[in-house]
This record gives sequence, C-alpha cells and structure tokens, in this order.
Amino acid sequence: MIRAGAVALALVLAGCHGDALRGDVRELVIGTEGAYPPWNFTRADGSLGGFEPEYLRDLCARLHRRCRMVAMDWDGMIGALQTGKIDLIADAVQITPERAGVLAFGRPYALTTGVIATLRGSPLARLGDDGVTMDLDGKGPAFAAMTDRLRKGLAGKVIGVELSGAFDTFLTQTFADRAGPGVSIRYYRTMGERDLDLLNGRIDATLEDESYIRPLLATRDGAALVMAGPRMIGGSMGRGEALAFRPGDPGLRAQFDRVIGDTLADGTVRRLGLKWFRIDAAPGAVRR
Amino acid sequence: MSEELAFLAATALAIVRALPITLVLSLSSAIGASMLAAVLVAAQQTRIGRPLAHVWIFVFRGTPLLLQMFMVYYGVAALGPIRHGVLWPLFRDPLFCAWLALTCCCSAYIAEVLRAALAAVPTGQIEAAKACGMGRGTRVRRVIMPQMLRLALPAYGNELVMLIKSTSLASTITVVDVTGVAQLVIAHSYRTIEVFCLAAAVYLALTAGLTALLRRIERGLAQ
Repeated sequence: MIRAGAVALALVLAGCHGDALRGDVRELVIGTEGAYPPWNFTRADGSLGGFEPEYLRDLCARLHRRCRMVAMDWDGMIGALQTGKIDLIADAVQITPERAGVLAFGRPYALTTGVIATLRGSPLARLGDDGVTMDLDGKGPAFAAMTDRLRKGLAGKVIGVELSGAFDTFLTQTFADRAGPGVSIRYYRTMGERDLDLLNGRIDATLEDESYIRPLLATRDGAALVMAGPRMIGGSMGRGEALAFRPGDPGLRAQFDRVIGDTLADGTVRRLGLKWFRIDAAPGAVRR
Repeated sequence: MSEELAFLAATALAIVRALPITLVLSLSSAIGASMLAAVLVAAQQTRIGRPLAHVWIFVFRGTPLLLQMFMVYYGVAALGPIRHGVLWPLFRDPLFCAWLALTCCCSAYIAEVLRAALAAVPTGQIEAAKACGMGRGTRVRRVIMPQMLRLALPAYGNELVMLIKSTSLASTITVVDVTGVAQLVIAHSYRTIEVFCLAAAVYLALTAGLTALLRRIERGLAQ
C-alpha cells in the first residue's frame, strides 16, 4: 500500500515536472455531454463516440496536443469551463446571442437547422414550405407569410420538445401564452421519451435538429416519421455550432480556429458530417 | 429586488394555475384507490378472491410507483391491443395514466390499512353480535364497520397525505402539475431554490388542510 502510494507520488511529481518543462503542452480537458447522439454519446463500455469525439481527436492531432474528453451534464458545463475544470466545450453548442456573453465561440464547424418531424400519415406532413430555409432573424413580408403559415399549420397540435434546449426556447417564446387555438407544448426530459411519444401518436410532432432527425429516420422505428416544413435557423436556434472557450483564453481559441479552418478546407468536416449526420453539416453547405 | 419579487410573483401564479391538476389527480386517485381497496379487502374474505388480492397487493406495494407510472405510460401503451384498441383515447392521456398508476399503487396500501383495522375489531364483539341473532349484513353495518373506520382513520389519513405528495411523480410522464410547472420554470430561468420552495409551500398547504380535516373527523368519530 505504502509502496503503491510512493510510486503514485513519484509519477505525479514526474508529471508536474514534465508539464513545467513543456509549459504550454499540458493535457487539454474537453467537456461534452456524452448524451446527444449523433454529436456525442456514451457507448455501453463507457467510452465516448460520435461526431465530436472523432472530430476533436482530429483537431488535437493537428495541434499536437494531448486531449481528454470528459462527459458531464449540460447544466454544469459552463460553470466547469469558467472555473477551469475544463478548457473548452465541444457539445454541439449553438451560437446564440444569449450565450455569447459568457462564452467565447470558436469558428463554427457545423451549421444545422431545426426541423419538424411527424408521423408519415399526419396532416402536419403537408405543412408546406418543405425544405425551405427559414431565417428566424428574418424580416419582411415573405418571412411574415412563412411564420403565419407555420403558425396556422401547427394550430391546435401538440408539439413535444426536449426541456431547456434551444428548440424549447423557440417554441415557448413563439407559441406559449398566445390567445386562440395555440400550440400546446409538451416537455420531455430526454429525447428518447419524446421519440417514443412521437411514434405512438401521443404528440403530433417535434421540433429538433435535422442532424438528430436524419439518423433517426434511417432506423427501423424511425421509418414511420417524416420531416416537414421549413428548415429553421437563427434567432434562439442560433447560427451554427462551435467550440466554446473562456473569454479570457483567446490564445487557445486562435489555435483551434486555425485547425478548424484546415478541416473545413480539406473536407474533413464534410466527411464526418456525412458519416454521422447523413448530411454535409459544414457551414456554407446550407442552402440559403 | 423588485425584479426578484416580480419573478416570484409570476412563478407563484404559474404554480397556482397548475394547482387544479394536482387537486384533480389527488382527489380522483384517492377515491379510486379507496374504492379499489374496499373491493380488495372484501375479496380477501372469500376463498377465490384471497390469492388474487394477495398478488395485487404484493405487486403494487412491492414495486416503486415511479416504475409503475412508466409501465403504464410507456409500457402498457406500447401493447398492440391498447395502442390500436378502444382504450387508446384513455391511455393517450398522460393524466389518465398517472391516475391509473396512483390508484393501483395506493389501493394496495389502503387495503392493508383496512385489513389491519378489520383484524383489530375484537372477535368477542362479533361473536356477541352473532349470539344476539344479528345477520351477516347487520353485523357488518352495525358492529364491524363503525369500529373498523375509527381504527383505520389515522393510518388511512397517512396514506392520503402520501398520495398527495406522490402525485408529483406524474410530472415525469409529462403531466404539468405543480411539480411539473416548477421544473419548467427552473429549466427556463435557471433558478432553483426559490421555485422549489414555492412548490413545496403549495404541497404543505394541501397536506396541512387535509390533516386538519382528518383530525376534525377523528374527533367527531371519537365522541
């Protein structure tokens, strides 16, 4: 026991010594949720898989840095970043105005849209504006007409959504507490429970990221679902996904921005997007 | 400070708006569970009913209510005959599923309370009633029931208090009751303590009201 302790102490001291010598090259700790497939998820053996673990491995290799990814709940992730428990966040963090105050976003590595998913036979499947990109920061008569069509199409329906995500924010702000035949929103703690209720018909539709819905449609149960209506972006849904750093850490952000640029240019992001999301999720690939 | 007060007021209003759901769920499952418990105790007095009631109590008292809620809401609802049958409009509704799980679970506990009270009625009195020539119905109505109810009341009240608090589990199957609203407000505001305190105060008020009512009934029965 004492010998094991001595060995451990020696290793720790050696580690400190090594770090002190190499200065900047200590291990980077990356926070992720490990529960947002296909972006990141925890396998049965406890290891992390998905788009981000694979992508960050690539980025760290390009930076010649040792990186370790740790899974934690989204609630505590920004706090862990601020207190230095982790060095950056890779968790499909949407670049939204509210978050820009506390986080320093890197260069976006993905740009995905929100979409409505419903059962194949549902009247919502014929919502209109299919596949048209709808910018929620938009203005003007065309945008107003589109919003109106969406609101009329969803009137009286039950929409399920994961609690406290960006889509929850959008639905709650847009449809809650409105007079007339409004949309009723049902909140779910996990996406799995929401998907079950969507498939068994308890809810009429859900609003979710296209990167989540597409792989779901390819599963045996998910084949009963279709995507409907416009692809939504901007507003409370944000403009793309990026790594999040401490605002006081611009050096690390600049390093990552450089290699992210490389992976966007050489097709790595496109390849990983097609592998995990079945779409090219790279920013700039979206039809505008 | 005023912003904090405004938040508290808005939260309190949202929670009070959800109060009818909690009340309806508590009241309907209290009625359902009590009636079912009476049936169970009656069944226990018969040869065929005894093992059936035994299994019912064994299962619903021995498994967590949360699990029973999930079983009704996600499990039973996925069965073909339910999903595509005439009962689907009922099972589609999360409130019905919560009611069903609460009723089944609490019936097991209340049945045990009633059984214990029945066993506590002195056998000598029942024999005396028989000796007086009372029929079975008269015996139950005039000797057994009045004593049984008085004996059962404190423990029965306990079960009702537990039931009110257990309705908060319905929020896990998308029922927006008092707890459900509290969790929604927390998810949207990132404030925890004040919201949970407000919700707790609502439950405290409900159970305090029930306890006072039960005490009054107990006193009335004692006279």
